Amino acid sequence: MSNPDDSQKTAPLIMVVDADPHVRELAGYFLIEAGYQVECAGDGIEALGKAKKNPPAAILLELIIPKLNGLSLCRLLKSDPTTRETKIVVLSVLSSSKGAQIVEADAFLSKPLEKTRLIDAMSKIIKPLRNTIL
Amino acid sequence: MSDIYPRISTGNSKANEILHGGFPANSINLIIGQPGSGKTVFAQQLAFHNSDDNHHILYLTTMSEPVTKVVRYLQQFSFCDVDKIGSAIQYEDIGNDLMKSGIGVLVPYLKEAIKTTSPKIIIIDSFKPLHDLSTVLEMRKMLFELTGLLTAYETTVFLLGDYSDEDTKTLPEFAVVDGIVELLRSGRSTRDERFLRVLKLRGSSYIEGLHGFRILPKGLDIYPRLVTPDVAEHYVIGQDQILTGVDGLDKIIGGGLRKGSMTLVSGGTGTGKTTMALQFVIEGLRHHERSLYVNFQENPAQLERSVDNLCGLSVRNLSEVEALEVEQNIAPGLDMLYISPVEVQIDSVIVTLFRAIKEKKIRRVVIDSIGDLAMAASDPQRLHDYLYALVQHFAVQGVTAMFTLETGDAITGASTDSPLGRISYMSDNIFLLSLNQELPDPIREIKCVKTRGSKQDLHIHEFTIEKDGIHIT
Repeated sequence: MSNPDDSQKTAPLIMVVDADPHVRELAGYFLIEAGYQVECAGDGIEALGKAKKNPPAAILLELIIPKLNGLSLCRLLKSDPTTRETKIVVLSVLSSSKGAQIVEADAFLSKPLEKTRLIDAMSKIIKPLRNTIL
Repeated sequence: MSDIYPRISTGNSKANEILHGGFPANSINLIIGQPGSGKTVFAQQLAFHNSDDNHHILYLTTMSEPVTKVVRYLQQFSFCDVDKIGSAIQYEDIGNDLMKSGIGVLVPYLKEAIKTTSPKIIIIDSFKPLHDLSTVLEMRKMLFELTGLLTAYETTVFLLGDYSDEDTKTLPEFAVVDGIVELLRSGRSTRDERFLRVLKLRGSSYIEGLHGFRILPKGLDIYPRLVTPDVAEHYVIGQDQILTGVDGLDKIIGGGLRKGSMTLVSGGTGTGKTTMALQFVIEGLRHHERSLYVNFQENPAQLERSVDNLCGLSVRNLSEVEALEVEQNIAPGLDMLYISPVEVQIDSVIVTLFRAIKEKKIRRVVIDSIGDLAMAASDPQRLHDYLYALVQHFAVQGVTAMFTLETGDAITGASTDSPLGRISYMSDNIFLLSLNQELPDPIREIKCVKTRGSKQDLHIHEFTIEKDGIHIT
């Protein structure tokens, strides 16, 4: 997803990893609006490849994703020096935060997606470029 | 079923009661019913209740009614807050867009609305006409997209439509939605009866069956179907006895009526049923027991005179609204609730009665007569179920009840086919009043057909009706 505003090029990069295209589109839209750059991935393998190539500041992650599940993805990211510092925000359909604790996530949000909760949680972990949130 | 979902209130306490708290948040629901069944009123009441500056509602009209018409008629309801229209509640008409470009415009339209205003509730009124603009395949694809979008974002959705029974079996939206509430209207005599029914509610329990309702200026006035109380699978009548207030009757039945019991007083016209029932509630007042007399036939002024003749006590004629008011200080006197037999709607009567008894702490109650309720019940099984539930509630709460029934031989003839015949099974005591005209000088007679829990006196007793009531010899 490209950012129309060139001034956002130095904004922190967030990767949205979710199999649901609606979640990717809406979360991406809200994050860009809040002052982040956004990249998206629809499965674990795609997310891992993109993260290694261009490490994001944070990943908004659904644990239940195809090809490589969220738990395995997090283990691989934590074991790689280039992505070790990437923050993890779990946004999952699982109502329990147990999975988020296992992957040592920095924040846990339960689905469905909600704009205010998303931006509040993300901005506590990674400050956006602009403070004109919401 | 454990409840892990937050709820969206309907803005109607009785509808919430039926839905066990309201619609699960973030669900997609269908509100279905014929034109004029109350769908729009139901949805608007919900919208106004849930909207404020931080909780926006999107109300989309399609091709049924233009938005101006919806808003115009909305303003006659007391729940309508004009200040919210256009701010907290956004009314938008997408009828033209749909007709011009087809159903494909809906999902992008909603996605844009989610991005810009993030509505907490989305109402589409009506959804059904979208079928007229598309093939089955197009509709299925759009529904797949729609449910995907509306599941991804935190919003609760209500799709309204006048669907037929056949539609509920064949149209794809019925399979994908989480909740379905149906509003029904059926003609009875010269007036309509309205019912609300929950057909589906994923992730939640609810009260099944038909719940009567009326549309009033305040919105939907709903009467949740009375269900048998959880605490009493088998109702147990207390051992305490209370006096009937009828001279000689307590002796026949072993000292009085069991507290929490139900007594049926049956007999032909003019045999003394109403007099006996009045004496029963008057006796309650003498013992400082709050008593309620529900009457469908006799003019309230006429009954007031009868009470004055019998005991000189004052009478308060309550409206249905007053019957439900909770009073801090209970004034002495007999509460009477008169409901015109023409306007009797069984759901409202039973629910009003039940709530009045509970909230006013009534200890004795008379329904004069059950036959009038039977006349109002379009479904005999429904009457039976209501009465059964009511009797169970009385037993649990220690309310002693007396029902009158004008009949010939229905009870003594042990006819169990009709709901009134089956009342005999529910009754703890049955008194049969009659006029013996075979003698040169006709006499009044009473026979105790049934007494549960005490020794039965099978003799026929003669009685007279004097100025101060019935005297049994």
